[in-house]
Amino acid sequence: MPESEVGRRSKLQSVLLSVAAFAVFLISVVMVLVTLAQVIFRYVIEAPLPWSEELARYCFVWIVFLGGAIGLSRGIHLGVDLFVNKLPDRMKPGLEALSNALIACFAGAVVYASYPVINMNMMQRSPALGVQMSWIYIAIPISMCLIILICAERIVDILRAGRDRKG
Amino acid sequence: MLAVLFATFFVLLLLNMPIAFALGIAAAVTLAYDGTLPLNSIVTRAFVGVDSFTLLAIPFFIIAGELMNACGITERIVAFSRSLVGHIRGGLAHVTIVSNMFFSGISGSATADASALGSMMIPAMKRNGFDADYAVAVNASASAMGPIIPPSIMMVIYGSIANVSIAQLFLGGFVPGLMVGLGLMVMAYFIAGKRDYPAPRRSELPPVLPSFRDALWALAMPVIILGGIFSGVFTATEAGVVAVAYATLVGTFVYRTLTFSLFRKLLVDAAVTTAAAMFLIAMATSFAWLLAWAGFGSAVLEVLGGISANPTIAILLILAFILVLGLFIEGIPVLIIFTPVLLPVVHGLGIDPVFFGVVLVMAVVIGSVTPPVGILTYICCAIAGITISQAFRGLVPFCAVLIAVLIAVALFPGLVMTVPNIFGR
Repeated sequence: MPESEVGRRSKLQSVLLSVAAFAVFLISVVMVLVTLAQVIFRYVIEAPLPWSEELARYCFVWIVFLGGAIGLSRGIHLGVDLFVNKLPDRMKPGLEALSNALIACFAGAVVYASYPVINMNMMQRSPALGVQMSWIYIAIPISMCLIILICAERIVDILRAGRDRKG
Repeated sequence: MLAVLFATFFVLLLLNMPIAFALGIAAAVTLAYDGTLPLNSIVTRAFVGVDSFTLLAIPFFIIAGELMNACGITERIVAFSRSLVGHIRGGLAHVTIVSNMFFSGISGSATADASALGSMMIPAMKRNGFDADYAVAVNASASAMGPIIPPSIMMVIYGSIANVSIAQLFLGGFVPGLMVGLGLMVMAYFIAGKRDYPAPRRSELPPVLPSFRDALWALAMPVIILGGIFSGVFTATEAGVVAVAYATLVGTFVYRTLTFSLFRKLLVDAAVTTAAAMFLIAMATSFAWLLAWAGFGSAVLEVLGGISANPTIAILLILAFILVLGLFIEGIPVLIIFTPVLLPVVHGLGIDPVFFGVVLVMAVVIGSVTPPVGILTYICCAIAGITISQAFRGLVPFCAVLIAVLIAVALFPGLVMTVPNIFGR
């Protein structure tokens, strides 16, 4: 996978991204161990764990949404650059800024839309673990907040680069 | 409603927006335009799309593949393949193809195969007098076997959307995968003759047995994964986690190359790679739901039914459509967007969903090789230091082989279904 680290990152963003990466590491370890335990308990000890699959799935949800935000900062989400590559160079920064602004707006809308979902799921408890479902759903708005931060900083970067070229 | 959904999506694609977000924004705009469906459903659908034990197989196969690669098994597999086929005319090209076959049995992803083996084989081929376009074409087309030969991330995704047994899909990929490998070797042999490429003598190569023993720990992995799934002992997800445990043990105690900091980096990298695919699924769930809600599937069925009621012709038309799409859009998104749309069509025509899954995955992965947009070709070109247009001449015959195998498989479903029918039922 081509990875491009675009622009400079603020202290805040680097700290948040390393926290996210560390969390992803810990949750991955839990996910691997729990699923392994499930296999061992079912086939070796022959006493299946009732909660292992659910816990592994919820770990996975957290990994996906945190990893998705980290991935955005690494430029891992693919687009189709066929058309943009044909445009004159002076138009590209503007389009990139626009695309980042749209992603940030979308992420904002998702954060807004998660409020009722999380409120509704305060009372809802998961079937096997009995954990409040809001703890799983909240991964989505947290990921979106990181995405807003990443996009905003990239827009600032693009604008700054444009001003430097003119000045 | 469909017009809003598609128009927004394509405009955003032209802006070079990541496909995952283009899907999400198109769905959000359509929801806002429609006004009767709540925006919340984006959040709940994203959660439902990801909350699946089947899809957990994806990070496990990615972690296992990366662990094995970090342990140096790539070198051992290449050395073993070299001792097997290195003396055939076109030498290193055959080594690349056979190594990719073995590697496909360990990793589930074509991009992982292309970057792991390509970064080793392309420079070696260039050093030994092969043209760069040939090296790129061989590596890119051989890595396409990754998702066809089990295990396969694409098949896990298809199976989870279509609710089809992953084991059946994996079994169905065997024969088509071997056909691709053999077809590519035949083509590599002919072109090597035409371009007068060298091959070392048998006696200059390492002997088979010691290099087999050296690669044994790596070669045992597909046996454990596939044996476990096919005998019904594990689900695909559990086989994935057993593979992770196996790779960790082999890396720590046998090859002794795995350190804690490397392990930590691999886990985070694998999580980010997984998230790239899963983020797409999360966003595509809303998109596909709106497509279904607007009755897109039945519209497609009507159009196809208007052309021909013959399932074989319908399949060929669908595959041609996917191949054309694959010229411009990347693999997994195509699979995620079109599987839910095409499934009712396939059911309507009475086509086996296992057979359809295998040919669909083949068409999608061929789309990742074909220029102008093909991630596998792109990765290999980046390694070789040439542009995609410079690789074009080399690519044409190998892409022709891939498409020929696809057509053969589509015409003779027995090629896919015999193995699952014997072992899987």
